[in-house]
Amino acid sequence: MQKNNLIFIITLLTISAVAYYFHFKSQNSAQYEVRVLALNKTFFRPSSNRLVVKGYLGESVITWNNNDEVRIEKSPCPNQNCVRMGSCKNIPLICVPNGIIINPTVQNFDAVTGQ
Amino acid sequence: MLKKYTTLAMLVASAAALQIIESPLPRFLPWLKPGLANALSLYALVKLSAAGGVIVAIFRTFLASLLLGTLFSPVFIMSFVGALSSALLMGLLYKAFSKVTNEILSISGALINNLSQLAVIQIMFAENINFMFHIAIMIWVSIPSGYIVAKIVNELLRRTADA
Amino acid sequence: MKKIIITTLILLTSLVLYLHDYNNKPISESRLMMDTVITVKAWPPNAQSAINEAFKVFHEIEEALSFHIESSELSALNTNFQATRTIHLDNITDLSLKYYKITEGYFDPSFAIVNKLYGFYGNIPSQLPDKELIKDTINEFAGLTKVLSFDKDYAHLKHGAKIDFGGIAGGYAINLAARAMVNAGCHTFLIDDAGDIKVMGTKPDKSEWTIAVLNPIEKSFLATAKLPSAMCISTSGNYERFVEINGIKYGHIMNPLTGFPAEDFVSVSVIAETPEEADILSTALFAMPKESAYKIAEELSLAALFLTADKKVVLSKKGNDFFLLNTTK
Repeated sequence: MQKNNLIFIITLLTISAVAYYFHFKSQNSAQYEVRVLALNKTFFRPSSNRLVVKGYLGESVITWNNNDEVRIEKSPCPNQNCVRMGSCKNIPLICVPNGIIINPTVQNFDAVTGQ
Repeated sequence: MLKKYTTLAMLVASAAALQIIESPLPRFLPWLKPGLANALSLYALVKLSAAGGVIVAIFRTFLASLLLGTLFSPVFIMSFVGALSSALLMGLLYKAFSKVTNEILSISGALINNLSQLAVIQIMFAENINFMFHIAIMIWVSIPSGYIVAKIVNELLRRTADA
Repeated sequence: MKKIIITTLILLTSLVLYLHDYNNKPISESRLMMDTVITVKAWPPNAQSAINEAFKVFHEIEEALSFHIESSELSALNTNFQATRTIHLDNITDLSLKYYKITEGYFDPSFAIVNKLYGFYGNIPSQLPDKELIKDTINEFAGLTKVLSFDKDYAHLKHGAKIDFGGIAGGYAINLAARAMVNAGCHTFLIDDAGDIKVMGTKPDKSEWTIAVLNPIEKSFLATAKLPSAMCISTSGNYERFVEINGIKYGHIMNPLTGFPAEDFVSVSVIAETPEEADILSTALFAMPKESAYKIAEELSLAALFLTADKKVVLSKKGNDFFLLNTTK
């Protein structure tokens, strides 16, 4: 491997480590709610653990399992990438064609009322 | 002159084909993909010119989206912005640093491709995405995928050295 | 080359070491109690012992004031129409009478008798209860001051009447639990009794207490509420407890004037200094017709957020200081 390549890769890895550290730190200091964003409206995890939201193309079905992992169960998008991504925790799930974002780290609430 | 155009057309066609083949593969995150189509932009950049790389990037996203039926949809905007910014950055680096290697070009291209796609998501959906997390993961993914792409390009360049 | 690798390694190691230096995390515990989920979250010091104290209080209140537990003091009052005066029973009836007057009768624990007609305590009828029957029941058995009386040792309830402190027991328990936690040496905590929330102290990162207010029906995000220390918020709605008669859902909060489920609002959130006040006033405002609700909210200068049945969001004047509406729509 060339020397320049190695230096370049090591620099990148360092940046990555620093970025991950900040991510780790922000996760540690905050408890977070999973928010679902569809057509610029925000939704929260319902107690039924099943949420149906309307996107650009139609209705997406979002479900949570007992381990608090979330997945898109059904989506009207053509490529079904979001469905194939499976269950995730702490990682945003994004369905671009239908305009759905499931984002775990956006806003930190201490509690929720009106659920 | 004619030969240059023929080469470009061939590169666009094969890049679009690669992008179409890649599109149904499962992904861990929306912007995570092998990025093999980027290899042909890089090849065009080294073999022809910086403009050649940009042309391949623009035309292959149009062509692939047209065939996939996603033209002007959010998916198209993402891949278009990603490919274009990656080609532009690679061209810029190539012109600015004479010593830059294909590996560095390819890895930074892959990285900027992913970053700009994330920026598109951020702008389109006006949602605050955790950048730190994404940057960390992106770098981890971009290094091997960019490295592989660079190796492919090196091999292509070697085989077509006399052409 | 070597220099670069060594620098990177040192950087990485110091990062990892720094990561481990983090122990100001809160402890959170949820339990199924008082027919709902109660969550207590506490920050050090003394977090765990304070949480235990808090749940002890909830348990005690549940034993004393539950409508469903047969051995509770309230059940004694409801079945024998007479019960020994205990500290909890006295406190909660005092509070109820106070707010019965403030809310002009819209908060009324004795309205349980009408809820019973709708089948809220079992035996859901196949038909809506007869209007005349409801009217007679209200005249006869509703009105807290009318049905409840005290002598030196006993509380007396009019024969046939029923009382349910569901709308206030939660708030009362939160208040006592908060005191118990402070006494246990914990000064930063949050108690959440199904959306009836009290916050206390300042978090280690000095960030403000932020509570999300949801639209309970479509689970979308209405607003955030910024709470100063020791403040409380509560949301009332008819979405969680209802009966279904002939396929139509009837909520559990009744308009005491009509004897029919209140239907002007989807939910009402109130911020107040005590959990009882937040709990009671959100329920009472929910039961009112729109105009009276807005009027009373201004009269008592309450911080209130209304989501009306036609999906409009209305803030009281003081509500503007606390609620931040979600404007990404």
